[in-house]
Order: sequence, then structure tokens, then C-alpha cells
Amino acid sequence: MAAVAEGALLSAVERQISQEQIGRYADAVGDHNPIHIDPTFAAATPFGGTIAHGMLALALISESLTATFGARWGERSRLKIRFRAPARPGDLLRACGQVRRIREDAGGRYAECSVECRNRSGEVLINGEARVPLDG
Amino acid sequence: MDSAPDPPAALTTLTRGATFPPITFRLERPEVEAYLDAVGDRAFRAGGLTSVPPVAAAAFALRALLVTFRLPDGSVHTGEEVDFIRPLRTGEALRCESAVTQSSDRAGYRFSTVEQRLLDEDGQAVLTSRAMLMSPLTEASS
Repeated sequence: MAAVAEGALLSAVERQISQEQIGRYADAVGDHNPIHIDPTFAAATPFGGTIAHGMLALALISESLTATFGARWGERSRLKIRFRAPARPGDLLRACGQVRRIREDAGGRYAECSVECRNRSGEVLINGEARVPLDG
Repeated sequence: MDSAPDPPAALTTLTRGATFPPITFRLERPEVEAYLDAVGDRAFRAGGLTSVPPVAAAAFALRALLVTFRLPDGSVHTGEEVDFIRPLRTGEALRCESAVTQSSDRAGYRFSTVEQRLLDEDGQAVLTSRAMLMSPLTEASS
């Protein structure tokens, strides 16, 4: 892992979401809620069509953190996010973030980061904070 | 994974303070590989990491929850807070404890917070999480 400084940008991750991918994710995590996989059902909801599982879009943020911090992301780490808007099939998603502060406490040094995921039109789908240890 | 009650109760029938029977399970490598394929994660594999991806651990904790209750059709996830205490190893035995810690109704939806703890074989917490969920109080037919 390269040295991390305040203000540094996290490695960005871009990926297009497809209905086929949403179906594979539903199988992988056992969540077959029709809002994700049944176009007829989803068309009658306030969303007007199927939407990706929030945790599928969140996986891009996790990938961005892995690409930036390696194995340190996931050990003594914290993630706090809100799902602001849904990702839809065909959306091009971009996950990124920034190191806001380097903090130190009894457990060592941590990077406090802002994280977000947007769609192609720039709409924020997910935003929040992550904390990742820099030592040990 | 432990078997489900038949039929599982809908989340909207549960109120604050409800707890769920603990679920025990192991995350095997094929499940993790299927997850990585589904999300398309390149960084985790490129880094040669063999543990369970952090957000996958939280997603599989939610899967364990779905053994004990049913999310009404049309439910969506509105927020997630996770403390990752240590990476999960594939194949290790995990015990998932879950409880509804907040519940309120507004505009035809139930807003629930479900807190979970994943414990290892030594009873040590490896992950704690809070999932915020929004479920329609009246289910549409699918």
C-alpha cells in the first residue's frame, strides 16, 4: 500500500450494472426480492422498474477501498453509509472517495475517508464514511 | 446453514426488541467466488486476498437473517453501518445473532433497524452491523 495522505483520492472503480448481474447477485446472496429481479412487479412500485440490491452497489465502494488500502480494509475497519437513490440496470456506476483525515488513537493510525457511488448523470446513489487502519 | 422456520415471519410483523434464533453457518470458497463473480470485484482477486471481502461478510450476514424472517416484497435497504473487527476466513464456523432495535411506521412503510453480530468459534465478535430497511406495510402481489 502506498503512503496515504490527507486529501488523497481513493482508487476509483467504474462498472456498468446489468439485469443479468443483478440476478447473479440475487443468487449469490440469496435475496430474490422481486423489486430486484421481476420487471412486472417492479414496474408497479414507486421505483417504476427493477433496481440493484444496495449491497451490490456498495460492493464497488468496498472494491475502491480494497484497491486503495489492500488487506487493511476489513480489519478493524468501519463503514457507515446511506443509500440515497437506487442503481438501475444499465447504469454506469462510479465509486470513489477521499482521505479526509489521518487520526491516531490507542489502536494506531487510521484514515477517515468519505466514500460515494454515483451514476452516469452524477446522482449520488450512496454516500458515507469509512475508517481504515494504517498500521499493523 | 441452519434451516428456516416454516414459514418465516415477515419483518413487518416484528417490533423493536424482537430477537431471532442464532444461525450458524460456514462461508465456503465457492460461495465467496460466486459473490466475487456477481459483483465483478477485480481488486480483491488482484490483491491475492483469500479471505472474505468485507462487504461480502455483511451481505452474507444479511443472508443468514433471511433464514429467520422474510423481507416483504418491495423492501429496500436504506442504510448500513458495519464494524469489521477482523477478516473472515473461508470455511470458518460463524454464529449470527440478530435483533430488531428500531421500528417505526410512516407513509405506508415500516422502517426497521436490524443489528447483527457475527461470532467466531471462540465466541469472539468478528463483525457487527446495523442494517436500515424500509418495507411496504401492504405487500403488492409478485
